[in-house]
Amino acid sequence: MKRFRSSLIHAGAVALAIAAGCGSAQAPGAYDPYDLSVSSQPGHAVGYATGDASGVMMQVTAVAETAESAPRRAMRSDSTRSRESAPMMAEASWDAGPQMAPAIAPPPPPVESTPAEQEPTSGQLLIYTASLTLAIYDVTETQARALALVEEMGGYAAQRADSYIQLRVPAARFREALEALGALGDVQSLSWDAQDVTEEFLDVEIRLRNARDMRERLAALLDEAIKVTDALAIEAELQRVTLEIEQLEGRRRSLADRISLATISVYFSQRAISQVPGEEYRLPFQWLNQIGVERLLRL
Amino acid sequence: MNRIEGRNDYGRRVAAWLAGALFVGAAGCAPAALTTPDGMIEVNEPTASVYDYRATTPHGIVVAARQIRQREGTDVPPGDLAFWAEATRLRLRTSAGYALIEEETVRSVDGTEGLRMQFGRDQSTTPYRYDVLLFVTPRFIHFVEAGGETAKFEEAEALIEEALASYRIRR
Repeated sequence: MKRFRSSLIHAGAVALAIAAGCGSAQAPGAYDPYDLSVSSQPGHAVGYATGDASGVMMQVTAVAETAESAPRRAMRSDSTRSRESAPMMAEASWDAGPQMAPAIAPPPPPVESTPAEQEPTSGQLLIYTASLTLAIYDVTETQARALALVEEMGGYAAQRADSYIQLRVPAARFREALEALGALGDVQSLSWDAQDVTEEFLDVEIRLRNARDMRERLAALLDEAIKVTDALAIEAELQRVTLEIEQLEGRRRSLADRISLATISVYFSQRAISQVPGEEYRLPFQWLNQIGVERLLRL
Repeated sequence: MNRIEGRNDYGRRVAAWLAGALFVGAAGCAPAALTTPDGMIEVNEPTASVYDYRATTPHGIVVAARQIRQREGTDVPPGDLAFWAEATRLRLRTSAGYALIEEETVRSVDGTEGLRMQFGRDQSTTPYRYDVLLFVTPRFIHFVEAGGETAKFEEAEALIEEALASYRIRR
């Protein structure tokens, strides 16, 4: 009976999530590389967009998956700089970007919170990832500025290399962070991805709840066990269920972390700088630049 | 040798001389005007050499001369002795690691006033000496050099001075 009830809850949650994800198609507005509108249409779906800060070339193909399929994704990629044509098939928006996501789905729980506090009730749970390539003059300085920027937003740097930095920012400030990071240099490419993990999260939740119920029942049975063989069998099962609970809790924590903190990978490419002549004294007379005992003695 | 062969040989020599004279005239080169002292030998410069003249002692102390055309033909603008002396100093001292040791006014055999600059530089632990004589005429920069290991330079100093003192500017 409990299992049946869980299934009903699960199905209800999925239906809610799908309903929230299937926004109506609308005509494209002005192009904004940081616009995180989700492209979706009932039926098969794929998200794709190209464009850039100064240009307009952008393509968006939106697909919302059916109730059985999971997970849905919204994707956008800005890798070119021309905006001559702007074919856009559909754009079901959150015009305000991920900050608006909470209007559809509750804001993702903070990573520090306990699993119980993160209980999703309805709507979407999204994992945001973005990749940004910036052409800049000073890699070290720009990296430091990028880091300071996300720390101010409550984020941090997860990885840092010579020309790469991986940043984690609160999901609610994802768009703001992308815009601010883009302003640090010349955006050569930008792509982002919003992965809907609502179903997966609910699945983990339900399995976790079931496993905990099972553990309670097994504990009760263990208390009542008279035969040693029965007790041993129950303990073995209890151990297995406990292990499963730990695994599910780990999975839930991981999802909660990725939901609450967006991941932005920033690649820095140093903008070519024409070399200013150094301090070497040089006049445009080849003979003068070749004088010296070295040349004289080369017989 | 019969008469016809002799006549042909003479004709060939005249033609070669005329061709040489024409070539020098066409190139507009100021011919090298150093006398190679006994104890040094003149080096045959390859066609692409920047030097018009080079001679060496047995120990590798080299004297050389080159004339760089002013105004006509190339990209070299006109300049006076002060300009080219300062350019030489700056080039050697700021970019090539030389120290200016001494400077003195000199005259070529024909009486043209010039400047002699004595430079030094060390390579590893070996000191080298590099002397430059600079004469500037309206058409040419005359750049006369002498250089080599300081110790050997000083041993051959009499020869070097003789060679440098023989520099004549032909007008």
